Amino acid sequence: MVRNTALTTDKNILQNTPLIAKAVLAGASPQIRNMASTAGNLLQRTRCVYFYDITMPCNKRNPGSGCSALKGENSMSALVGYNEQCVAVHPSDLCVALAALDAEVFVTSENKKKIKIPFKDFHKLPENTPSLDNTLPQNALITHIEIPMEAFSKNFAYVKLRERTSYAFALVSVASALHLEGDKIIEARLASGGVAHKPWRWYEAENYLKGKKASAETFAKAASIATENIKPLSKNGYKIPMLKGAIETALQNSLKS
Amino acid sequence: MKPYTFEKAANTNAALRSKNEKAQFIAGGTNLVDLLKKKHCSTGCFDRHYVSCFQ
Repeated sequence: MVRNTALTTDKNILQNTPLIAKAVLAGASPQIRNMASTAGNLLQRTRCVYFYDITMPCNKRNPGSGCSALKGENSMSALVGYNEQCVAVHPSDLCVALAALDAEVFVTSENKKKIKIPFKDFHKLPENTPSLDNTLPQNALITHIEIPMEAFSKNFAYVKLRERTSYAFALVSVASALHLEGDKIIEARLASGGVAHKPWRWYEAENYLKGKKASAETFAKAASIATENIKPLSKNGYKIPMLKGAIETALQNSLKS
Repeated sequence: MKPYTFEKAANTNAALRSKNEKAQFIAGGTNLVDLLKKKHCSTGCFDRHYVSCFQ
């Protein structure tokens, strides 16, 4: 567990999993990154104007009171994985990179048992318990995170689209990582922030990319696969073309990194 | 001002020992302090003992 700034300068991270540093640098401000910590980043609450406005109903703050965002101001809200109980999104950039790289969260429980939680299972969808953002057991502590050393240190990108270019949460963000042999994609990872209650993996698009030639056409098709069945809320349909473009751009930029 | 206390635990075991129903773990980035300032955590956040275990 280190400060977020440390993640952006650590030799090991920069050499083996530079996508992590890239994502962290896209988040918050230097001052906040100096104070923020790894576990704190994982455990920050989802952001939604109604969650913070204590005069409005919110199932996350007051279970059973209703979701004000569902038919209200939901332009920043989720595109996938939401339900009528909650449409909030997880705000982290770091967590999008950790999800893309299949990290594992190591936890010590209150009775000192050591537990390993795959990153994809660490954050949860709202389900019937929108007040819970993650699966960390009650009274447990996060002790460390492991990131597999796979072949994603060369071709990767983090694209974050937001209302201003610094110190803003993502409208949509995309982490992409490609394991290439020549121009053939051996394995692809694609994850997004700003679209769901948890960092979201685009597994279907990843499967499509596997074995294909890395080209603009392939990337465009992958972006279509990821976005074609999305059902937006009343005010966030604008995010779909944005997301599609961000996926294509992230994949394209992965070739240059 | 609502009172609270803060403790910096030396390690994981010390932090777990300090955890009880009135204590809450805190880490940089959790935005718990934001939520406290906005009186968002009306029950359960105030009059608490915060335990940090940052190594």
